[in-house]
Amino acid sequence: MTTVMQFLQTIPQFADFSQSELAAFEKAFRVDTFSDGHVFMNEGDHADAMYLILEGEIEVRRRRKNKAGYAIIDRKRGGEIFGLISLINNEKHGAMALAVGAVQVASLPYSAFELLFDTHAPIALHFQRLVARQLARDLRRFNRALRAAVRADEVGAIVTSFEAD
Amino acid sequence: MDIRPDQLHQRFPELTRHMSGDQQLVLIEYLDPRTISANHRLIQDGESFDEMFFVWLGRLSIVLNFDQQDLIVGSVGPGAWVGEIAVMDPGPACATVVAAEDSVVLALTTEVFALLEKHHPMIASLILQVFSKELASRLRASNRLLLDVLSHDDNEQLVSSPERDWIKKVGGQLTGVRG
Repeated sequence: MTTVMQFLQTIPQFADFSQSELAAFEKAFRVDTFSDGHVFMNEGDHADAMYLILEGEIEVRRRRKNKAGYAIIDRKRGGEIFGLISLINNEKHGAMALAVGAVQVASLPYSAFELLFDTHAPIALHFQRLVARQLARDLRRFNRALRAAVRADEVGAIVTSFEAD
Repeated sequence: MDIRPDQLHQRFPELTRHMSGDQQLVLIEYLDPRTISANHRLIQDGESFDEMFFVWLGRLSIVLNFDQQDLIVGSVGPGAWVGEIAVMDPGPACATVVAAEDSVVLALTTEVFALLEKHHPMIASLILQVFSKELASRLRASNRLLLDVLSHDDNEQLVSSPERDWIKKVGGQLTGVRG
């Protein structure tokens, strides 16, 4: 099993972190492996953790309006974070996230997230930068998908836009 | 141009809400005031950019290009800011920003923000918190709009019909135009 420390050292987003900061993160995270279809969060759930994907892939889905079933609105892979929006704005989850195949995930409980996001120690700044970068990338990706939707001949183009990332 | 902390706070209350007067003074030192003429382009859609702008005076238009046509999706005035994604994660712009009239902006480059992080981490932290909360709200709204599109029975009709208001709504979401 990959340790959080080993994983964090391999991804550029954590390049700014010192060894002691990475060690502090490792203690705060809990690592688990989940099987295909595991639901990390449902629409309407209270946010209780932030998740960092170590290995595997998750899908973000929302219930379609006036239609049965769900629409896939995002996919995330190793090194990416999910569950952020609700944590930051203290709202209920607006989407469902589930494992696609086996997924290894490090979760950071809400209390630890709050401590890191709302304080101003150097480790908190690095964490805030990490969160900000993930949000900026997510927004860029959503914006590209929305643009594709405005221009698309078919809704399928939207999914393609996600897959191209 | 001399800006006092109380003026900065009055103009950008949300940004400076948790900053002391001394911290605001430091931030002012890191901002680069620029006077720009009407029609001057600050950010070009699709091109990499590495600075953001706080609007001090005047008005900036946010323009999107759809099917070879420029569409003004909104404008922002004093107290607003544009391009904050560049500070968080430099990369291509998702809209063009052009001065709608003679304006004064306070520029903040990614390089200068990195210096602010290094020398005044608490101020940088407060700024990142404000930007992150705003981006999280925009993401949630973008997410909702995308679902609208995915749930629509006839996407092509929705898109090709003369529903420019709808496209403007999407455009506003793409760029974070408020109000």
